[in-house]
Amino acid sequence: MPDGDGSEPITGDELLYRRIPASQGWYDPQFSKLNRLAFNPIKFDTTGLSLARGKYKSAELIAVGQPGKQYYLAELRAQDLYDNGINVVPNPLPGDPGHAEIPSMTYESRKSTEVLEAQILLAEKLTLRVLGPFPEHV
Amino acid sequence: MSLDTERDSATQTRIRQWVETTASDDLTITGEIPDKELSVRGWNEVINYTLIEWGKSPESLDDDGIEPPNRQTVRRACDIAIALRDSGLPCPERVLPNGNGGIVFEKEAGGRLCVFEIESDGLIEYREFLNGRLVHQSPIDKL
Repeated sequence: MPDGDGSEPITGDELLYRRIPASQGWYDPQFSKLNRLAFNPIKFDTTGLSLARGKYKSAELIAVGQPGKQYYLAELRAQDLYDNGINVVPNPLPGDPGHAEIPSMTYESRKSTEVLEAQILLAEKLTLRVLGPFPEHV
Repeated sequence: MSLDTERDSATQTRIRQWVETTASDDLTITGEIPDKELSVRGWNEVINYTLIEWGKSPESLDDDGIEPPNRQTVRRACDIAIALRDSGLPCPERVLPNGNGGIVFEKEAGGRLCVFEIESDGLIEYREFLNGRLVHQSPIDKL
């Protein structure tokens, strides 16, 4: 894992991950179908939709959430986002230097055409694969 | 509670046109069971299993940073499901929490995605996407 503080720009070849709570049914493993709601900004997404930079943490660590719950990870490539007009920026947090976000996708803007269409694009076109669930057993 | 002529007629027409089209598609796919009966059965499963279970155990949807729908929102979603069922509209393919205390009904066919979203503040929105593009969005307040 890098020693950086997470403030360096996100290069096109970086892999990014969106954590998806299995409890919400937003990913259907039977049909490998990811729903756009996995990219719906929630109330905490005040400055952007949260992503994790793969170079800072393993998938297993990125997927850590509420005890007793399982999570999937949607894998994205930064360049694919850039090519589709979706900007992603570093947003390191204390203890989490690999935190990044899509600043155009906030709770405030969640009903805008741009955000609603970006949700579908991210879920149906730009997600390379879905990993998990993590942990495998609860 | 029913779909009636007071509701925004343009939106109602759009909803009906689309869902009737997909209902025909469903009939082709499923074959033997009449589409209305199939749809009523589907709506009943949405109400009796998914929504009532969420209402009984909202904590099942409680998760990291996620706001589960509260009982009032679940009750409202049940009322809407009953109204849509009784109006003869086909059942949704997916019923999902939206992560912000709301509930979403979705139906998809041929690149067209139809969405009813019941929000935690009681607002209902209807949205229609075609090949990932938003082509219609309107609040629905006369259900």
